[in-house]
Amino acid sequence: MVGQQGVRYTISLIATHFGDVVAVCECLIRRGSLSFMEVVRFTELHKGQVKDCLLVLIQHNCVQAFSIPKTVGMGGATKPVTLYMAIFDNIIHRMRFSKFLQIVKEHLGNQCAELLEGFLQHGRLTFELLYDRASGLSGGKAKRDDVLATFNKLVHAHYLERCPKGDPFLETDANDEVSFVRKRTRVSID
Amino acid sequence: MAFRGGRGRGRGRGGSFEFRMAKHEPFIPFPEDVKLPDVSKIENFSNEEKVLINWKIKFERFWKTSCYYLEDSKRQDAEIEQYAEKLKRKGQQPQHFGTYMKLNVSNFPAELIQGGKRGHDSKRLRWDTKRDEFSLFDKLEEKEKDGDGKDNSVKEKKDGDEEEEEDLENEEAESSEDDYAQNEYFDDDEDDFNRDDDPVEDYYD
Repeated sequence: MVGQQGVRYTISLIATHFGDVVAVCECLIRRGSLSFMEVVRFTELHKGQVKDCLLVLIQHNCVQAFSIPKTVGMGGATKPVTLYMAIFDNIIHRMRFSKFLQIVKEHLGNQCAELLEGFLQHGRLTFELLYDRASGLSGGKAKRDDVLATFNKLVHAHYLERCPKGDPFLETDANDEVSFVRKRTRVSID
Repeated sequence: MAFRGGRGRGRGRGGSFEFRMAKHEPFIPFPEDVKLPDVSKIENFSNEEKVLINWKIKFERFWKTSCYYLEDSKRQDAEIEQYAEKLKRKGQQPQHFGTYMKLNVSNFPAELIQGGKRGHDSKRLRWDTKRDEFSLFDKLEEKEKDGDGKDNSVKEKKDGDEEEEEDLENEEAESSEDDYAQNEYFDDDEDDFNRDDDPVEDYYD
């Protein structure tokens, strides 16, 4: 359960960091998991704008997409529908990024902190992009093996983890679907 | 602003962090009864706290100037030309956040990446925004240095240009035929400003 003050604080954080992405984020936080078309309808934004907002929010791990089977038509045929869910805890963690950076600097050193800074700034990066960034910042001096070693340090210390799948499919039976709907209404009342 | 509301007064932070344990306090974005702390208190911040504040400001500045910061297109329309011109003058193109993402089905839902085929190009990536600003000044300085050396050659060029201009004027004078005979640029009484069928109409999608 997320308190009303927490919701407002989260929205204020996202507005400060990403600007008008906040309309989509607020909609997801207040109304629970929604499909793309539902977000478009509730926010009254253009489809292109909503797409951009969702991409930025997913890139920064503030929103996670997942698909569930949904019954379509009278025959009982099911079709996967993608829903988007705001991850409240991850958004609140944005306030503590500087602390995370300091902890990593103390534990693993400057090099690790520099790599982590890239992840905190960009949300998700592939190793290629990470290496690109490191060599760009050092003026081409960074060696691939060194970057890989530093990256491995961060992974082994569990400061980094692999990104979840873009659109994981969740198998649900009839009972689960009911509880999911209930949960959604409960969040929207708060 | 979130910094002052969240950290400065401690409001909201207690309410949202550890929300299962802590008491909820109202979060006010712009509180009116603000009692600012003494300057001496700020000066007495430990180095650790100063570093944290510094990083926080650095992060916020990065996001605000990054391609991830999206603005409402209505508001953007008025300012976008000015901004785009500013960037052009700097020799930079406004970036799309897609250049930093791997936009494929395994990373993002298919419905979000349909239509947008924007692969990342390592040449277009700018990791250090500060360096870009300074590189602009470096270029300007270089130009100035080059400019001093080229002053003499410019004068020589100018003489050449004047001769070319004279030639052009002569050519124009020679072509005594009027526009109608040339079948170009003559006035055929067509209403240029109110055309009936515009093949491509501009519209906002």
